[in-house]
Amino acid sequence: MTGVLGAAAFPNIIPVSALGRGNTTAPSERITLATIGHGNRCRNVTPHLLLFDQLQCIAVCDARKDRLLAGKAQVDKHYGNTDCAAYDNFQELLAREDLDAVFIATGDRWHSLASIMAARAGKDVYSEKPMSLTIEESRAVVETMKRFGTVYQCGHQRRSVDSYRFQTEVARNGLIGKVHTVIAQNWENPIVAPEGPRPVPEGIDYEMWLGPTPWHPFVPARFHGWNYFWDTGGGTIIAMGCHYTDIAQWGLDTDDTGPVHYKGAAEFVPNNFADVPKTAQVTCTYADGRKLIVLSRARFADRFIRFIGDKGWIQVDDETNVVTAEPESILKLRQISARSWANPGGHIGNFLRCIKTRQETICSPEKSHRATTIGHIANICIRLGRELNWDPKTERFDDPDANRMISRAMRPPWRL
Amino acid sequence: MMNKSSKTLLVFALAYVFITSASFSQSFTPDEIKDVIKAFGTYDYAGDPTPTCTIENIIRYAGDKPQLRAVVEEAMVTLLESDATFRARQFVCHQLWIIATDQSVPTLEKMLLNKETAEIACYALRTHPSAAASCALREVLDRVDDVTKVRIVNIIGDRKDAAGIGRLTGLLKSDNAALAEAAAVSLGTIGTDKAVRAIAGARAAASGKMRAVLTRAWLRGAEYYAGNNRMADALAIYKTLFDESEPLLARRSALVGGLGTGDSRAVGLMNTAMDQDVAVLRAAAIANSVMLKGQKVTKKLIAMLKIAAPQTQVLIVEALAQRDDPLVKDAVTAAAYSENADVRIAAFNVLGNVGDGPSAALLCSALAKAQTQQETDTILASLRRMKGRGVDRAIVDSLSDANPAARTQLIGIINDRGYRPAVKVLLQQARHENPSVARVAVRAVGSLAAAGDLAKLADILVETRDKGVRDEAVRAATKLAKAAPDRKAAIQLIADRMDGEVSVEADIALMRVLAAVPSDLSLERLEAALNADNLKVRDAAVRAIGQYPDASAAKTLLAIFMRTKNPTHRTIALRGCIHLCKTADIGAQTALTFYQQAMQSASAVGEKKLILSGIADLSLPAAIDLVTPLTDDEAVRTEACLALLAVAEKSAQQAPARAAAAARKILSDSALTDLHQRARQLLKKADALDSNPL
Repeated sequence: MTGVLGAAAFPNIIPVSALGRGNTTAPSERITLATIGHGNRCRNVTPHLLLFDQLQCIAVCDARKDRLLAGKAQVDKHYGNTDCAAYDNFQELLAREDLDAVFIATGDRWHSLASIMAARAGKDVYSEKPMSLTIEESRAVVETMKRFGTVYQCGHQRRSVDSYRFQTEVARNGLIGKVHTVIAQNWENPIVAPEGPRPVPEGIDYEMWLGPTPWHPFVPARFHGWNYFWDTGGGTIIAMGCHYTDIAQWGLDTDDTGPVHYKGAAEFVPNNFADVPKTAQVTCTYADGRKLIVLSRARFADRFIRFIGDKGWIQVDDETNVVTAEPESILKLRQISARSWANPGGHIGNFLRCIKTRQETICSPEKSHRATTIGHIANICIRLGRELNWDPKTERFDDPDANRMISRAMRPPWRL
Repeated sequence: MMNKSSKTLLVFALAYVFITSASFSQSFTPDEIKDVIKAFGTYDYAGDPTPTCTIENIIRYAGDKPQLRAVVEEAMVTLLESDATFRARQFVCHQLWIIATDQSVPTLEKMLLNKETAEIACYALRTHPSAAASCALREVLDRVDDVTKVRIVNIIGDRKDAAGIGRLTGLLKSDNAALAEAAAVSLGTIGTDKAVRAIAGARAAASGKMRAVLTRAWLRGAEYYAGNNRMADALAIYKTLFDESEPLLARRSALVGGLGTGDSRAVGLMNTAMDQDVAVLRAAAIANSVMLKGQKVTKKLIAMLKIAAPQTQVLIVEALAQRDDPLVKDAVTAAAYSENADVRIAAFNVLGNVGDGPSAALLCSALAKAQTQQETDTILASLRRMKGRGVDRAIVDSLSDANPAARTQLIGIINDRGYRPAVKVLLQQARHENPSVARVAVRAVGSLAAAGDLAKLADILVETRDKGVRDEAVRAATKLAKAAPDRKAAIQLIADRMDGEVSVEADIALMRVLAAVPSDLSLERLEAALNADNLKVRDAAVRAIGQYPDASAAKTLLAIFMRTKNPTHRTIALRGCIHLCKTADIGAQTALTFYQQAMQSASAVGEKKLILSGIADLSLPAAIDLVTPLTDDEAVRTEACLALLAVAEKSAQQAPARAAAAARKILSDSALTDLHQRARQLLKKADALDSNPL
């Protein structure tokens, strides 16, 4: 049976050791990297970055002073010196000629623009997900990375995790028969209590924080809960959902296209300060009739992705990394690895190797754009409250209103 | 009669719990829409979110109703013209982003002239589909402040407004650097012939940051040409930007862009990049060489492969893998002999995709020499998926020269590849002196062989002295016997082997096969073994019958239980019997009889409990009679009561009075409070059935 699994054309996972020469890398050969946005996510990923001997983190950047200082301290502690530079403006950081690559872990509003600006400055990019706030933004990322020959890795790190890899191999090799449905369950959005404007706290460059999004006074609920307001986020269906749409696209072998029809429902609850609905369900149908059902409901710990075929199913429980399947015998084909989605080491390794080889990463711009687009369209569908037809080739709807929502104006001086 | 503000409040309240879906649940009249939007004029940032939610609902509701959309837009324009709060106007502009028509353009144009409102007006105009919007943006350009001017220039570009090229070209020379740069970017975005010419002209005279901006815009111009199949024009730009005098980023971009055209005239770019000693350009050229078709490119890569450093060779081998070219196989095969492990591994991996029989032979030979686990794993993965001609035969032929470790792995590959003609060789390998080789060979025989091979497999089973090989042979023989078209003959073959001169271990192994393939003969032979002279054989016979999958063994097991004095055999037999009574096609009445007989012979408490667990599954009223006396046996009282309740629940329909009596018995026992609720429910049900049996 392992022969069956070997049939799909999956890239090899290259061990870290293969990237450097021996166990250590000469300083002159190290890839220099800086972080942009040193919040919770970056704090969690940085230790994994620093594990790579062929990488040297030379700077951190954040518009919040407290995070900037904490980021610098985190990097300095690892190296046992005070060499890590700290920037509150990423444009100054990108001007450094000795910088090879950036890790972007800002809020969603900056992901695409910071990626594009880094590429224009000649830096390679690892950007956290979601790739963008709009479909146009992520398409612009694709074009920009192609234009400058930039190596870009999107933080859909589940592609580098063996449980999801196994799941998609099972789906693609027909071990559960012909896959007809994928279910991706995210947790539900929280209810946000209404709140009025407050003075901007000291140590925050709020203009930089807002970046390209429409001006809005400082409101703590929006500032901390940016994911739940359309100006700055798109709720769990895009924030988390993009991980699952990415795996769905991989498992369905539709990385260069996407669903053509969207039908959804959403639940807006009373007096919710957040823009996004509390719960949502969108059924995305591919041209050949296969369905991807994206759910935003239930608790955080209940998230999963399941492929259903005419001879069985396979599911990864995202919280526990436990894989279940029917028939259960499929699971015997899996070579267990302790690494779960929480460890992005393999994903970082893939990025670093591609910087050297100039090859496409496992989460290339095009694949990531297609996966992200599904979440954006799902949101457009529930915002407009009607079914939508999408042409993945022209990347246009047959609905004029929806077409307008493919893009939106950026607040100057920012633009794509 | 409701006043207007009350009506508006009601509309807000209705929207409060709105659920959107494909089927819309809330409706609005034109007057309600006007009222809601008018009332929204006082909305501020600290406001209750309900009104914004209502307006979003209105937008959804009006979506497919042109007349209502006009009402919405008119009301929004009125609000924008009023002294509404900034927040109200901002929110309204965000809705006009979705629905605005020409109707709102004059008002939005006026808002552009005010630097306080220009940003929100731009939001509505950015994707506004009408020509009037484009015209308005161009018209106001000379009448706005510099910040707004940049904003508008950006939008003209984003809207790809070719009519704005003239204005933008003029702005390239602006003293305001931000404005000039914005104009350059917009020209690149618009990307028509005229725009590209303007960019090229300005770039020739530019320096510093503006030149970098214009270079990026020019790259977009090249993309415009390539997208319109004007490859010569595109390549002209790329070749200019690839010049050594240009910054490295421009050169890399030009190289990737040039190769991306797929045009054969771009081969020169690739060759130059490969020949120059700039690592990033060389790597980019190799990685993007796949964009260019033809043997010229393949030959260049192969030539490079011979002289490049090992790390570059790895990249070239990977690039060759993506070329559909017959030259690739030989080149990669040569690389597979490299002294550098990384190069070898890359080549082994590629051979998995392009290799054939000789390639497989090469990999089989390399397997014994592999220096790392990664090298071994790569070879095995490639052998597993290789599809070329003669691969299976080559792997089989390689077995004779392989050392035991490699031989074991190769037999596993043959098994994974499902190569059935290898069975003859595998049967030979199954007698190999190295037990690991023999075991994996027997396992492969089990997967690949047919019933006709059972005799030879049985010989191996009988003759081997290795327990592991024997266990594998039992599994393999079971598989073959089960799948045999003539199962009776297969079982007879196994039984005949038992009649021969065989060791005790072989005898026991043959019994295990028989026990897994039920038939009259199988059971007969196993029953005969119960009387064997050898204690081990007798013991194995009991165990084999204890796991027998067929109901026919239940009676034998009961007899063993009632007859033997060996406590282990008693337990095995009783468990086996109860298991069959519960799961096999044995009939409830027969099972009850078995349980009665077993209970009479049961002496240990554990045995009684085991029997009670079986009785609990029955739905015969007679079972109540069997269990009831045991509820007075202190040692098994709890288990008996559980069984009684379970049986009574299942029998209530047939025998309500007996079920009720059982329930009352349980209720009368104060030590069984955990069961009382179930008993009460049973009693209620049984009483009802008893009073109205129909």
